[in-house]
Amino acid sequence: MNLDRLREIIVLVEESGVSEIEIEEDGLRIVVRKDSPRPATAPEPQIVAPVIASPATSDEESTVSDTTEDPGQKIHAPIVGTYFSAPSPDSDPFITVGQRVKPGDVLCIIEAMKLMNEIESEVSGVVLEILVENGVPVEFDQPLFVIETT
Amino acid sequence: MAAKIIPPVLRPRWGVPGSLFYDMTSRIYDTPDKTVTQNSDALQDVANMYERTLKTDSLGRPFRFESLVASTNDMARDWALVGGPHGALFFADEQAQGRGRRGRVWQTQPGVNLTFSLILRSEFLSVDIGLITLAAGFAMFKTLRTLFPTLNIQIKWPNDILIGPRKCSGILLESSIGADRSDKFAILGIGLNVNQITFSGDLERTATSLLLETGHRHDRIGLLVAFLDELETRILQISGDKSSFLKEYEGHLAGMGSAVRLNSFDGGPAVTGKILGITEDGCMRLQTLSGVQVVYAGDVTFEDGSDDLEL
Repeated sequence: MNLDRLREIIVLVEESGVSEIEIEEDGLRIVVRKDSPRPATAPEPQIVAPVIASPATSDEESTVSDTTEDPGQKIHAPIVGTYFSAPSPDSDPFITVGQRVKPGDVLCIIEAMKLMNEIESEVSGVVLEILVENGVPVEFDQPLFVIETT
Repeated sequence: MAAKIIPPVLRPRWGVPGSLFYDMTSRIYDTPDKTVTQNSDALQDVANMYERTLKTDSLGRPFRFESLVASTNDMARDWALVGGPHGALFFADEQAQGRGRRGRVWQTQPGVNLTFSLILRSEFLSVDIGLITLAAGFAMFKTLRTLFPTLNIQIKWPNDILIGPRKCSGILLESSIGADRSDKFAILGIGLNVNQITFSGDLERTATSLLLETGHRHDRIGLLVAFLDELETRILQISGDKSSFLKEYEGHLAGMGSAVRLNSFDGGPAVTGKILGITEDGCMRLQTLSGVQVVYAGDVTFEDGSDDLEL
């Protein structure tokens, strides 16, 4: 497949109503998906949930499918403690859905025994989901955020 | 009044513990309604006294003394980011924007209290940094208990110090956890009300100082040096025998064996129960109606009808 053909496909997806197209040609599989912002009305949850739940699809060419079909990378709590979304109750949250983050950006604070741990992002990407409520306890390894990596 | 320029103050040369020089590149802080009341000569006397009397092996060296900063934790953090070593101490005669947990303000008047921060690097600690917050609280308790044996001093989990029902010392640790899930460093910030006479707002009811409790003034540097020595000892203790430390700690824990309420911050759920003790990690074990619960964070208030003791 040459670059012109690839360009055609990208334009096709861009102009059409579909959000994703998958083409297999001569053993090469190409997935083109429209980038964020995701429309709130899209029936994402129904599609997303089974993908996460079932590891069955991982048999395919994993390097390709990981980056294209995975709805985003989950960021897990590195420690147990109380989750805080902002530096203080009166300030703006560290991150909001749709925000772009880069490695080293502070995502939240987790407090244990009055040790305030700022949790830094290890990835670049866009925040798709925030999975926990401000001020609640989180367990070790509990998913906190979904970030669409770029 | 927009900003004030801090006059040249005393700083140690990095990497040469205790060696002092004047740094003309003092930073500018935006501190409306605050003035620099301490001149650098007086601060140098304080720093000299500190250097002469410090007894520790590594904690508290090197050190930087400044007359006025926004927050010693922020200054220590900036220092750590450019290589400030484990044990380094940042002391401020006055803190304009000292903070406690969740945006609370730590009020200090100039030149009367102890406000300082220490850089702790995890590679120098053979214990979990979480337990250090308890060790710091206990070290402060022990320091005060030794100097003032007649006062009713207790620890409020995890590391506040109460004299009677009022708080005289607070400790806040801040650290960041990055990509490799390792602690790069933590900043241990400590405030002790020493010679403050008046407190405003709610603090009038909930805060106290050593002067108010004893009726006379106390030497801040003497207290600082004694605390650092005690903290070094306690860090060694928890590196070896955690259980003996936890037993001692529990022995002076306010509310041990009685009912407390742990309020979460920012509107999270509260937990009520009887304090059973402290786990190996420093968490509080509570007997609740639904069984034994381990709590990692929260704001202790006592359920015996006394007022909310949190500042």
